[in-house]
Amino acid sequence: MGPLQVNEDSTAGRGILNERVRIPERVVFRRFVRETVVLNIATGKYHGLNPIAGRMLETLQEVGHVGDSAKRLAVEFNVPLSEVQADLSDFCRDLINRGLIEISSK
Amino acid sequence: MTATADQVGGGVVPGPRPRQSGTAFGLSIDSDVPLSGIHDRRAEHARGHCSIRDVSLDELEAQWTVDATVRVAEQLYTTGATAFAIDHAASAGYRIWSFGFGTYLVEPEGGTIHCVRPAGPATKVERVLVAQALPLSASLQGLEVLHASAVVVDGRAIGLLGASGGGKTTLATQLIVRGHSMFTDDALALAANEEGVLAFPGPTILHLDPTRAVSGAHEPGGEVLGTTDKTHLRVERAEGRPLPLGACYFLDRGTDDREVVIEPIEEDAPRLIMSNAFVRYHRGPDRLMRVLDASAQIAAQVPLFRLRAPTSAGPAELAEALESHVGRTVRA
Repeated sequence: MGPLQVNEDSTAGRGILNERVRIPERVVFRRFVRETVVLNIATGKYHGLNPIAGRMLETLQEVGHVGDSAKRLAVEFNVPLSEVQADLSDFCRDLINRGLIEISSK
Repeated sequence: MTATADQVGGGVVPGPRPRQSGTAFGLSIDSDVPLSGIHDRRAEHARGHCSIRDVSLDELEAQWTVDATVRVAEQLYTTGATAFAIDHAASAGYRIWSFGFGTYLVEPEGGTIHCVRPAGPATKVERVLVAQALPLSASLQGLEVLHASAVVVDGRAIGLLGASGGGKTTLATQLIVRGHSMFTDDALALAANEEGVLAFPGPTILHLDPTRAVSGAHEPGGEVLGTTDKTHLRVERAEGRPLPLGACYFLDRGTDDREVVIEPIEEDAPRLIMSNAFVRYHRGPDRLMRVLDASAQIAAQVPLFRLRAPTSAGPAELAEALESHVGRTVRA
């Protein structure tokens, strides 16, 4: 079963916090000292993430659930949960729009 | 595009020729075409193999009977005429054509290069074989090739990267004049994994800008093979063995600094490494992954520095600064 169709309702506002996401096989990333580089093999494009965004992506890969990822990151960075939830929601929408993550069906 | 006899200068009728063998760019090479500067040594460290075949235009065109091709690289004269072109066909490989410099077909896996030699001096053939076809062969066979020159300092290969015309060869030449061994010019072949980054020597030929003088009374020592857009000098003092890549210096000339400044690079490392890939048009999924992985390995294991120099700083000053920095900073 493939990834769900992305609909505006699920990703709008804070709805995405209830979703699970996955990184498709066509997307790989490697961490550098000050940057994480993401490669979309299908498009041949490389994308650069700052260290915090890189850690967000790693956490999404490890945890899957966006809301749970936010909780983990809030503890890791010692930042209010609401702040992380907002940043992570925006980040996920950006990655989805770039085809770098997908909302998963499970 | 079909290369014609006129475009290749009438062509050279190939015939039986003694085979030459050697190594360069991490490849063991056997060649119908005479090559200057490939290392005459056993290929125990080679990571791939390339056969260079001397063929006729008809023979090459017969191999290039393909349905679909993509032009992946091109340079034009100011008149708009094509000076240089690389076409790709998945079934046949990469065809490299350079006006007056011959036509070359690199097979898809990189193991064979078919060469239609132009009339004229051998330096014309070597200009394309060494500058384009062999690095492509190395890339197709899994090596990562950077647009870089390199010299040997304290037993390690030291990479010199930067924009075309930015002074890599001039700096390498000055370091050779100061007693270091040449490692490669213009293309640096690497094999990178968790255990380290190994650099493979290129041919022992410097491609010098004839408008730039090497300061100092001493020449790097060697034989001038000929002149095309560059002066091609076969260097006497050159390293033929693979060596660990000790460091990479990115040259940034014409800065506002009052003197030469060398500083470590961390933030721009991925972009600098990947943007200095030599064979940018080879973009299959495996290659894209390899570029990313090799860049990550290089950034993790090889010290990277930016060498900033004002326009007033000459090659000797740059070479002295770099030599001193390597001695203080780069560890074996």
